[in-house]
Amino acid sequence: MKQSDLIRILGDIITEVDVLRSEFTRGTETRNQLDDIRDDLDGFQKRLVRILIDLNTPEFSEAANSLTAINKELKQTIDDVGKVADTLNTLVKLVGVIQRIVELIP
Amino acid sequence: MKQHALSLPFYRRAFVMLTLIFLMTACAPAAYREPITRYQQASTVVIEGARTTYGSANKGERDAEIDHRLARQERITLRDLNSEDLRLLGPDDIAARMKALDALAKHGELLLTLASSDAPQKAKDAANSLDDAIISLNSAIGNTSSDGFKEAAGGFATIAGEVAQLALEEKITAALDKSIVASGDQVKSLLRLLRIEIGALYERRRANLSNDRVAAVDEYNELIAQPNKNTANLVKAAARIKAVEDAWDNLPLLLGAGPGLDAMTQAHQELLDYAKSQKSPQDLADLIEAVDAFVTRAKVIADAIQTLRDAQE
Repeated sequence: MKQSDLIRILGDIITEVDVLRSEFTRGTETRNQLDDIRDDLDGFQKRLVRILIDLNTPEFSEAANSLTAINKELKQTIDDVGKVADTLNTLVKLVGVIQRIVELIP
Repeated sequence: MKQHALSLPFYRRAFVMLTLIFLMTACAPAAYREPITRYQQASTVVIEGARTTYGSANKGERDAEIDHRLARQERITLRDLNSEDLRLLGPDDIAARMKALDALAKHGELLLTLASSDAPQKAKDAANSLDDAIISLNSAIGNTSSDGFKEAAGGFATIAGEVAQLALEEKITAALDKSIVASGDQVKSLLRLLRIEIGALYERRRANLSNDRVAAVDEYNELIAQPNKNTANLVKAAARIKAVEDAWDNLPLLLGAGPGLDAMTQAHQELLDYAKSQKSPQDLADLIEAVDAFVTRAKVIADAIQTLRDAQE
């Protein structure tokens, strides 16, 4: 996976999270959690765009593979408002993986 | 009668073949002319699209930050708006990209002049113009923060400078060959880098617009949840949703400059292949096909730029 692919996948996740959070009224607990996750994802994407470099290290490949797996998991629940608790858990895992990827950037 | 019926197409074929041979051999750069002219015209459109994307990148981030704070009802200070964290590209980085695009455009203009003009003065003017653009690019490269950009733009600047020098010395054929063949890798590598950056900027635009969609829907839903509904405010909120959704629907148009750079890279590769080929009618046909595809893509970009300008007015 190249950094440009990562930026695009993050963009897909951000837009999916946006669709989900628009289902909840502002100020509610779930909405606040989703807003915070969205802010994190947005910040990561912005940082990746600022420093566009090719990362071909094994650490990056491993983290990218984890991201692909969690993203698959996310797709199974994110369109179902009734499964928002599962979605939130997956999103928290996803933020952790992306954080690891961003830390690999020199 | 039969002989006459056969001889007319024969003479026509012979005339066509002789014309082709004349075009392929007697006037070496002549076969290049039309495809290069069209390549250069399409490049101008693609470069303009890329310029628009770079030019508006930081504005999108600034507006998103203001909207974010509005949604959270947080204070906005000028210190926040001045923050470098708000920018995707610093002023020096944007300036360097603009200079690179300018130099690419000037390189195309020189290519066009070399291929289509027998007047050395015109080629000299275009070479001087490219030379100025290269000097300006070289000075901007020193201030940019990206090593990848420094490498790609620096490589292009070196070769393009040599092309300009050959044209100034009136070595037209050598300048044309060097312009196409020797600068090929550098042009491709610079275009590839710009393509990646523009794709990333598009993603930021998509993320910001997606956030606007949520804010517009929130505003409307909060108004209808109020016990005393204000119809005028509801109409305004609904109008905002429509405007944001229109922008969201138009978003794929913004992709134009990216695939346009891909098409430009491909057309440039065909120019290279043609320059290195035996210059057979098939080689020319391949070149024309690639340039046609590029022109078609450029037309889509031109329409997209116009649509976006109309939407902003």
